[in-house]
Amino acid sequence: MKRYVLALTFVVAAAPVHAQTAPAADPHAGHAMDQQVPAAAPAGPRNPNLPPTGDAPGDKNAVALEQLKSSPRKSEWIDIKGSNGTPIKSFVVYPERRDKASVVVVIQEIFGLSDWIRGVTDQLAKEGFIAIAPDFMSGMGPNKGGSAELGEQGSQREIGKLTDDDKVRILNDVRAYALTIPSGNGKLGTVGFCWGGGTSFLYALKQPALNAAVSYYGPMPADPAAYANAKAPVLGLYGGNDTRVNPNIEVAKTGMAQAKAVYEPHIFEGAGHGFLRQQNGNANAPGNMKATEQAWPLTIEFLKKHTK
Amino acid sequence: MANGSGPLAAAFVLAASPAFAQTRPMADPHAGHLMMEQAPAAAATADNPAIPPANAASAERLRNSPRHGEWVDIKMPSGAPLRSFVVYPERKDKGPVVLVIHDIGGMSDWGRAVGDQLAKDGFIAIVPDFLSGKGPNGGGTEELGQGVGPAIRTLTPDDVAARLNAALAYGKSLPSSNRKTGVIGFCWGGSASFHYATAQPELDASVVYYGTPPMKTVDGAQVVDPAALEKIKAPVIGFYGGSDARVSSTVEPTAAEMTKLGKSYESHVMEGAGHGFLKGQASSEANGKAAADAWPLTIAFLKKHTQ
Repeated sequence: MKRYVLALTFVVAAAPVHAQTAPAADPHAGHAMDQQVPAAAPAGPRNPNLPPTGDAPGDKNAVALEQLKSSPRKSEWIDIKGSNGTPIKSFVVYPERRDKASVVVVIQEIFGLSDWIRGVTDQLAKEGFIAIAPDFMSGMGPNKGGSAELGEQGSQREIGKLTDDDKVRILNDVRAYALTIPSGNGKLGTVGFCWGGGTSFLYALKQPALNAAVSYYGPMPADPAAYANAKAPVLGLYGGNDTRVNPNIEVAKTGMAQAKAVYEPHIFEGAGHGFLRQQNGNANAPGNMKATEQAWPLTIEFLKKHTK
Repeated sequence: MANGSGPLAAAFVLAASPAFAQTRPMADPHAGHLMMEQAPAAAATADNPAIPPANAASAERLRNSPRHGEWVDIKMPSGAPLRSFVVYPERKDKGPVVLVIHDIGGMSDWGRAVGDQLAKDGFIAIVPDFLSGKGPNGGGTEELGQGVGPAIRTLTPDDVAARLNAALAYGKSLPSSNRKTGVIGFCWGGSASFHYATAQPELDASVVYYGTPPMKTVDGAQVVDPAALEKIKAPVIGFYGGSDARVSSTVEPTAAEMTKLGKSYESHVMEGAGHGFLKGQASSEANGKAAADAWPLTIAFLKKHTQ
């Protein structure tokens, strides 16, 4: 019996590793061969080892919703105690594993805690992390609601009201909760996208006990002095066609080097801002899928390495 | 059209002639219009992704935009915030900024979707709510609700220019900006765009969609104000509905004054189109055609002058 479980675990664990290596080459070959296929059509069946895309034709979140619906993993909505008295509504997904796991906090885009973000959260649990996506809009919506009550456009409108102190407070509250989870190994990383990418990087500058931060195309401080207290290693993943965010990568390099903190920026040529959510891309961002195929394995590898 | 008589037809003829005389591109859209007259409506209701959306398609466009759009509070000289929606293009290098001036209805999804389209065309688009601070509790268009009409009339051209100056300075401060700035406005905002060309010497291009030029009153009649036009530095391009005599009747005198003053003014009167044809592109075949013709000319003009 024990042997059986072990063998199963091995297979599950092996799948992503395999996916990270072999298919990395395949999609490229596939692209070249599929050149005649109309651009709008998906290149083929989706790669289950990448997060869902958020730009599906028709209902853009259809792929994420399908993943959530068919996920074998345990997920739940919880209210995390907020130190300012406002509960932080959060979506949590648990990995299927027998040992303790590190926690990854998933930080939303400017559009709030969307279905797409929940799909990414599920994907991280699939990779073995306890994944928590807090709703940063908690209490900011109508009737003290959050992202669901505001909608994506409403969240986009209201999110600017959150100060850096608010963001760090919420993450500290979520972290405090995360470290109490019995199946947690006591390590915690953050992954954020767009607004959340900036927030993930910010948290690395403000929380010395953080183990790892991944920023997907998040803006960074323009002042090198802002990096002075950085401790946690940061992985930065950027689209080449993201003229708004990328100018400060050099500043971040300098600032992180001065703080003797690890900063690994990767710029994916031909990809736009938000490439992981918009894997199908467009004329101005043709490289989004390719960037996704490269960035996601880097993300998992980085998080595993620093939260073991 | 040939059977037309009275002021409307007269206005159209007047309006069309300077455009034809002034610019070559003008001839082509018109030829196209005439030839296409018999053809069935070119799917007037389908969303054409190459131009800004019809009003009804705006929310869907914004929802599916791959570009980064964010709300920012731009500080005005008074210290009060100018609530603005900013959309960034997907590009590697620095881009020019275009300020978008909404119509008389105030800030809207449509105005924001125009900004999104400009970003798709490579510009950093800043779409301010010019009614910022005019609503209850310091709010703007949204908070004003039915009060937008009366409130917008309290904004003088100079007020609008002051707000645009704040947006222009913000745009120039962005690390991804090439420090060139164009302005585009619609209806009320079209007039504001024209006026801004007279007020801001640093402006690089002004696009006027069915807005009037600066006017003054002489002997009880509204006439184009040459003293205002004389201050213009930036090239101006105007798009007008052929069936919008209220506005398009100003085109010929404007063209005459601009020529006299040695200013760059290109006008396009879109035959059969009504006022607000870009937002109202789905309401008639002529409007749809006008929108499809006007937008590429708009982008070419902005690109040329803000590179």
